Amino acid sequence: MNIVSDPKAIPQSTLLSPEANQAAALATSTGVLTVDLDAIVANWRKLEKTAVPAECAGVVKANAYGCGTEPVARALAAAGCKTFFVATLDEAAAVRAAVPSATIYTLDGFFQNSGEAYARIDCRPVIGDLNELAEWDVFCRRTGWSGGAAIHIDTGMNRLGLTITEAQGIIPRINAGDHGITLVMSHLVSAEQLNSPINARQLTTFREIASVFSGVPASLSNSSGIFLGAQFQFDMVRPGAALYGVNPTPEADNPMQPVVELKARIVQFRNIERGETVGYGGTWTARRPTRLAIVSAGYADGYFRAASASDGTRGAEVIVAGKRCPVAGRISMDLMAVDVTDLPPNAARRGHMVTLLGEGITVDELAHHFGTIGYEVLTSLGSRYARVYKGGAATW
Amino acid sequence: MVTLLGEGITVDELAHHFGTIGYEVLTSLGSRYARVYKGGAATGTAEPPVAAP
Repeated sequence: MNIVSDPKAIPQSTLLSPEANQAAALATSTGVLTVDLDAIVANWRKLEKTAVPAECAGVVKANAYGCGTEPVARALAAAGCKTFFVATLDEAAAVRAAVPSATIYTLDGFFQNSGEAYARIDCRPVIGDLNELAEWDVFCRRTGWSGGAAIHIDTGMNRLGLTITEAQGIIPRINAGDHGITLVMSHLVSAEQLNSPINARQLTTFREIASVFSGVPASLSNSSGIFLGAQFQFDMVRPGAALYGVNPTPEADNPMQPVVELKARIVQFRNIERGETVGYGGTWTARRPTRLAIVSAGYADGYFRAASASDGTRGAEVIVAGKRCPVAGRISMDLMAVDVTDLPPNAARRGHMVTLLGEGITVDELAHHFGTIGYEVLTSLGSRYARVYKGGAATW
Repeated sequence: MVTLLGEGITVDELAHHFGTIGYEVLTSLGSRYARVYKGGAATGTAEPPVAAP
């Protein structure tokens, strides 16, 4: 009889329940990423309630901030979300497949000769340049396509968007009617800083220009902008990060629920003497006889090398058997070492999972150790983990 | 197109700006890019980006 030594080679058994098959799959994975769709929906509802009567859209770009475009878009649609923002056409196609009735905006602008793709997917470009607008108009006239487009106006970011002067130049077209513009929008520079003077400047600039786009719905706020007050909310708000549990108000407590939990497996324990070093470069030295848990996650899984610990610098912490334990030495590509000396003997065993994100370790805490922001933590989440979805309208 | 890596910009130069090592630059390359293979046994073909599993 042929013995299958690699458990991943075990086929999905029709004799087992879906749950048992899932358990078998999880038993072979080095890490498990759990996305709580109910928490995403609760966050969306909270933002919607905060912004009412403005429409609350959902930003699901970058694979829904690493959480999975299709399950997230479906869960949001089931909760009542009608408008979705993505960055690219591939992402738009994924949302269209998940939510046939969605209104989809593609933020990265319109490229020449991509009109057919917009029409095929039925999504709307967010146009931020007069050349793009001219090319889009040519496509629409040639094909009769009338799916709509947004106009992006730059109010201080100096990234994408028409200048105010350029935007004023298309007012006659708006006044003429049948203009095909379904949304006028801008993007905030420093919305997470409540007292940044640029917030008020952008608000004033956008309010003036949006008011002359008569009859066109207006949108200014991202996640943080929603919390700057009702005057920032206009007709539509566009939360992204806050849906996924990133704190939109970093100067205060996080009003959002955590969404992502990340666990990885202990693959080995080892006991080392005082004075021995751990990991590449030998940057971390044991100051006492030390017990290490070697965990199967590393920077190739999106656990940044910046979270490493050395003799001079504390690194990130992970939760082992309910207790916070510090990372020891450099994060490797596929592995990290954790100092579990202070745990009771046998509190954790080989094969147990430890928590890298969750159980009180927030996206924002991890971002601090990674030297970045929660957005980058989420969009860097690795592809090697098994992904498990909790809640939502459908079972995943 | 502009070049982010190549034409003299090395993996190690990028790693310096990222505050890390070349290994992490490579393992962090995004999934949204079209991937093109040059050379090798087969003829290189452009693949659409693969959605994360």
